[in-house]
Amino acid sequence: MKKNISKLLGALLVLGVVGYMFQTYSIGDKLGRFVVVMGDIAEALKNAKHAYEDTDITISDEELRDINISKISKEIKSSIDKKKELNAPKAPIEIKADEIRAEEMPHHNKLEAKEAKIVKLEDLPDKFKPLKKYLHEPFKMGACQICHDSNSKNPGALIKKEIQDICYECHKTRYSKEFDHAPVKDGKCTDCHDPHQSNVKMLLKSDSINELCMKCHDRKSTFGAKAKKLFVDMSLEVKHKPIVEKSCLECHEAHTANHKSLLKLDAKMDLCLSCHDDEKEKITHSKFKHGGVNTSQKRCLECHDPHATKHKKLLKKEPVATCLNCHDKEVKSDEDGGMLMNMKKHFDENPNWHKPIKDPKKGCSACHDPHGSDNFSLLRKSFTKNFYANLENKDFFCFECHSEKKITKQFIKSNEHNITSFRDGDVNLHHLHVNDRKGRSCRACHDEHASKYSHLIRDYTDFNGVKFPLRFVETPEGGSCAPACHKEFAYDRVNPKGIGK
Amino acid sequence: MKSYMYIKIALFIALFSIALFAQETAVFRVVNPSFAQISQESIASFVVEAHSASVDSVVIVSDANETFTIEVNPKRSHYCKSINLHFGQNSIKVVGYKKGAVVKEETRDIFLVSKVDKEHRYPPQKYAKNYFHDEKNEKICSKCHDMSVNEVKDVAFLDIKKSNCYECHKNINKEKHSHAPSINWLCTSCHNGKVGIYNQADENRTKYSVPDPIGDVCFSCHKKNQEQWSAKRFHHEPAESGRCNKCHNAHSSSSEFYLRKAAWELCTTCHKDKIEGIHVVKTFGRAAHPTHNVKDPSRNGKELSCISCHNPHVSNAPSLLQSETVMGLCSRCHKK
Repeated sequence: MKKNISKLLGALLVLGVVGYMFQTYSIGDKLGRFVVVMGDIAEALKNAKHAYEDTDITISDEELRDINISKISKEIKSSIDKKKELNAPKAPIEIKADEIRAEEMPHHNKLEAKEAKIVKLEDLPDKFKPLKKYLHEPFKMGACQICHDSNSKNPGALIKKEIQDICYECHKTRYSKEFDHAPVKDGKCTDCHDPHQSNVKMLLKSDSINELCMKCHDRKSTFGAKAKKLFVDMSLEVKHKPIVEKSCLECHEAHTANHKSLLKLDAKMDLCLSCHDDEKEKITHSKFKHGGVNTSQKRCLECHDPHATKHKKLLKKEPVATCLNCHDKEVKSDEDGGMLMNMKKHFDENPNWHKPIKDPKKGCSACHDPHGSDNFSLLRKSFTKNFYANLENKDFFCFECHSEKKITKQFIKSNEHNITSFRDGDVNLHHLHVNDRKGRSCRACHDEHASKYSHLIRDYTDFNGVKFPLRFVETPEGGSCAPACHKEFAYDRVNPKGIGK
Repeated sequence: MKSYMYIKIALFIALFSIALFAQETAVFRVVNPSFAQISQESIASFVVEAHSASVDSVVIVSDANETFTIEVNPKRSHYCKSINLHFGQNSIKVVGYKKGAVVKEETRDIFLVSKVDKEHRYPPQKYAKNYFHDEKNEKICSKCHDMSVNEVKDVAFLDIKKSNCYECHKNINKEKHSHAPSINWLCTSCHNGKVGIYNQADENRTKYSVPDPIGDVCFSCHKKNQEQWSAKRFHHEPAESGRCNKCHNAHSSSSEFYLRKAAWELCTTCHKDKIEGIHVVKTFGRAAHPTHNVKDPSRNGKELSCISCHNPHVSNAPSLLQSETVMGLCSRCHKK
């Protein structure tokens, strides 16, 4: 009994203490809040289900392209595959036979030949000897009468006044496409072809196709001003390969064609892309396309000369000059409809250029792919448009040339001073600016094209549409900046000013 | 004959009193501020018109007994001076001296309103807003100052002293932390002359009014915040209603993030119940979790405050907590 009472008393005491605690520390209130919080957490977990459970997600190729970081390995692999594919030996260029030779070569049967008076090869006049490699079939048969009138007063006179009428007698396919080669139009078949014999196929009058063409179309031999575009200067050092290795007829028709300049396909692009299939992929399938190729008037020929030039890649001008041909004014961007800056003005006003641009071999195309790219601004690799960029996402094009150590090393020891000059003593100020959740991208401070200041420091940085000056001042062993981000801070490599401490 | 005498005496008295009155008013004139003016910034600009013929020096005495002496010289007619204010009613004396004797004394009452403190938020009825930049005043100023706006839209001054606003308003950026548009004197990017639903009374009164709520102006630069915030579940009321300047001083402040007070003090100005009592957890025999006066392990080198655990703008977690899970929240500081 006593035990029970003491137990009861003890229980009452405990209850009392608990009650007191409840009262003083408002545990009930807290418990209530705890329940609410837990409930909210449970709800949040419920809503965020996908984060914890496997779900079947298919990622489209376009999305894959956007996801640079996590899918980087995949992307690299695919790009390598693509490269391999492009480098693989190409199948021989297929040119449709019917496009090229609509006509069929006429063959003379013996019956026809019998009717004519046959001249034996040995009896031919001396001027035809020695015989050449290819003989015109009537000539070979000795059927001179097919073309010449033996009864005429002048021996050897032609049976018809117009030479083309004689040719078309047998070569019945008339050239009837949209554009005719001028000699064809004028019926001057024998301007190019020898009616008797030749060392070149098709009985050409010269030693090769190219030579024959150049007889008329050499810019040097003509008095320029007239119809300049009909003439080419093949003496320039960079020549289009098909012309050198094969002939003009790789692209041009000799007689008649449905496309201007007697081309086999549309000159502006289709013809070029029928061979350049690596560029075709870029030009037609890139996420971002270059207006200069895709929507311009002359397409490929805006920048390239199809025959021969002084410059690499058959460019009409120096690489940078080629780009500035159009980018010497504000141009509308195909990417987002915004205006692209006047690059020529920018380069003129800012004497310090980014090194690759100064390189006569590279120029703008060191970073930009003029044919199209999946990265904005036609960049060859990813970059950012943003002021802020996480250091983890450092898959930037810049690091192709510039060492990542510039950014990642917090302190730079005296034996590594060549890594970066942007130091306050040993403190790497690049690291200070970039290494953070709110790390700044390269372009926050650097102008990737040209600047008045050394190290390509910008004069103004664009922060969400507002231009703030960096107010960079360089000193022999350091410098100072007073941008919008902070008040004037100075740094010194030799006598540190104590930034970042 | 006598009546002439009376008229003469009356005329004399009248002329004498007019002359006396004229002298009294001509000693100096306080162009700005008005007699009972509301101020939103902790500095009041005094503009005094004084002529050396009637006054040698003008002394401005603030509430805190700070005195500023203007020596009147014959070449100038107007003098400007910035006077520091404290929150609430300020009574500032302007005293004119001639040969050591007081010739005139005037008082200007200025009420510095606070956006956060309740007791200083609503000025007594006698106070009214004064719009300085009107045609009349600008004409006076333009004797010495270029009163035009020489700011290029969205392009900051390379040399901030070139801004026409700088000369008179430079004290607005005197604190340690200055907001970029302010310290770069892109004044009209916010002072765009527009009004919002809360300050419609300012409409057409001044060309430099700031819309209230200011949110849209802030978001024109802080675009990312707008994107991120709109997707969140819970919003802090001032942030939600676009009244960023309730907590932030858009010009400059001695506190981080341009807060009007240090974070903890600022939060507890409204959330007074959190000043005392046990906040967060308490275990037996040990003190409650601190909310201030210690270092914040999650923010290197900063003081612990409300914003260490709470997001002052938005959150997906209830109570605007910084993390959606309890573990996530605590482990911001309590790492293994």
